[in-house]
Amino acid sequence: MASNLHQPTDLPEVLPLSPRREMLLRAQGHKGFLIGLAIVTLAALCAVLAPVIAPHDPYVQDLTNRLLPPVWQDGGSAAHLLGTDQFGRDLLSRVIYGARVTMLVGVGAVVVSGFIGSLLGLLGGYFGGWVDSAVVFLTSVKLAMPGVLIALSLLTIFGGSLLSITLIVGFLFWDRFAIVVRTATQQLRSSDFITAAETAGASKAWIIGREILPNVLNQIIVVASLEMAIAILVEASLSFLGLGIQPPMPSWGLLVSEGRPYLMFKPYLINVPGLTIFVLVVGINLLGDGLRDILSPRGRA
Amino acid sequence: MTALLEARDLSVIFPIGRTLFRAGQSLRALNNVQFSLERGEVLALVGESGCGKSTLAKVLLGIQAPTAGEVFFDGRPLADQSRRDLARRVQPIFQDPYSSLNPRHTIADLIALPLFVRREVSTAQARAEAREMMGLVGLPRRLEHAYPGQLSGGQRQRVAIARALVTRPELVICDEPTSALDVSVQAQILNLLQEMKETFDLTYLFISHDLSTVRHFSDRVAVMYLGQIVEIGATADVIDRPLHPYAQKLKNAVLPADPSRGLPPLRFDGGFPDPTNPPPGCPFHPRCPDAFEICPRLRPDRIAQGASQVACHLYDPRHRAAAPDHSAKET
Repeated sequence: MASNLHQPTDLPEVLPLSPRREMLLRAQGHKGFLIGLAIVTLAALCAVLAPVIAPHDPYVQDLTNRLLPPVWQDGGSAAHLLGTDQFGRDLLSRVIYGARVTMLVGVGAVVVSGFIGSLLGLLGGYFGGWVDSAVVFLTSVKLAMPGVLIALSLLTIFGGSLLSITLIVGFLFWDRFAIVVRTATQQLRSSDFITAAETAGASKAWIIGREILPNVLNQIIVVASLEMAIAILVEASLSFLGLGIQPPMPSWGLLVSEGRPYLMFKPYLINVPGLTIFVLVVGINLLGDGLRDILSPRGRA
Repeated sequence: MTALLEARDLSVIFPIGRTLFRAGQSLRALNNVQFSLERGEVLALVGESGCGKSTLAKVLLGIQAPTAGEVFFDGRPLADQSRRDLARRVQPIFQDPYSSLNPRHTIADLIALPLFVRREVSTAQARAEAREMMGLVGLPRRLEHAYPGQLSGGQRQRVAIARALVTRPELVICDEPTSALDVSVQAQILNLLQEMKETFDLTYLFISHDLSTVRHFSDRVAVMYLGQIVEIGATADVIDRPLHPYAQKLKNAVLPADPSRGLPPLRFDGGFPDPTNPPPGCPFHPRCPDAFEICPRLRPDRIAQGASQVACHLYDPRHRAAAPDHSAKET
């Protein structure tokens, strides 16, 4: 039944690469992405495998071995590679266990804020009208609030714990998700494939979940990686101020705070956790920038 | 026998620029549009950009509610039919196959979408039907797991056609299905549409601004101007012997195949009128070469003229006498 004007169907024809394969190729050639991925993977491994790789129990105090210097300084020993703190606890073990807190707060806060922000952005962008006005209003209110200040006051009310700090940071940093997802959804809203799904009888939930969400997922992932860096910094700041994670639980911000009285004489107590925070945040940002380049190379301005 | 589709006095008015503090204006996208479509027929809808063709398509698809008037599908008002029911019987084919296919879905899933949504058959069964459709529209089987980004424009439009036909609809609304494609591919897609019409007993509403395509493809033609149908009739009559001055201008605007004849003289005075502030009386009178004193004052009714219907005072016996050179217009 096919007329001779139809394309020949039996000719071998080279297909362009599939989107997934294209992304993989781009990822392999992206140095920043690979470095970021290595750093974040290392931090994640530390968090997951802390009980296996930490040389000591991070909570055990050993008052005879207080304030031991790290191994490269005079008086340092191989038993405590990064030295010990004022209670004789092994700093390396505390940093490794601190990765758990950091990663948990980072991932947990981004899951909460990503869910809130993406949902608001999808609803506002898809429905428009008064729903969109409500979303824009909420986002503006959120942007007008001093985030860290509100986190501080909420933490004084609810007390600092892993759960409260994760939820508070999550509830306070969803605005960027909402803005990015809303704009992306608005652009997709007028696409013919949305109209095609509507005329096929798809429900609104179907259109948002199956047609729009896969197309904005890349943007969500990129924002999530950058927001995770912010969440980690906020957690470190709050813990440093004494309102976040409570001792003796090791958090990198708390380690910096605990080392503060010894700034002049034992600078490694601050340098080591400070450097780990710095390296992880740089790594996450590299990963986020790399993800943006890899997932949407055409979206780059 | 009832017509498959009947539009009665359809009007669509969009409020624009309205805010909490300002009243804004209204845009009349469709103005008392009336036509019917018989089973198995191809009705072409022609007119320049902004004349309301795509709005009409949206109303007929049931995704834009008319401000006034009614659409009857198979004798029943469109408003009474469920979204799902209508989705099975009326399907669209869009102009731009780059925008009409979700870039995140595979070809088989795109074609099976209307079946997935209905949830009447299993996912595996839906994919099998999608593969069968791929064969019918001339898509190689190995594209099943490909993404739209890997396909050419012509192949994408075949995917869109397969998706539109997978639920075996009765009416297909083609919104300029070939205008985004290369000329060489246009003929392939038109032939495919023709072939599918015969295979599945389809009725087409074919929106286009390419008169040569329309002549080749359609049984009847409706000419739209500023949200109104100004002339409707058999293809040969409307394309070759147009009655309405606007349809005559459209015919003259078609480029001749012989390049030595140069560009056709158009002499269109002024641009397309502002649809938020349409001219009074006949909407075409500011650009009409044959306008006379009644035209700015009274909106013309549709008048039967031969087998066609035309909305122009030149053909109205009540006003014809007043026309400056009415003798030239007699048929």
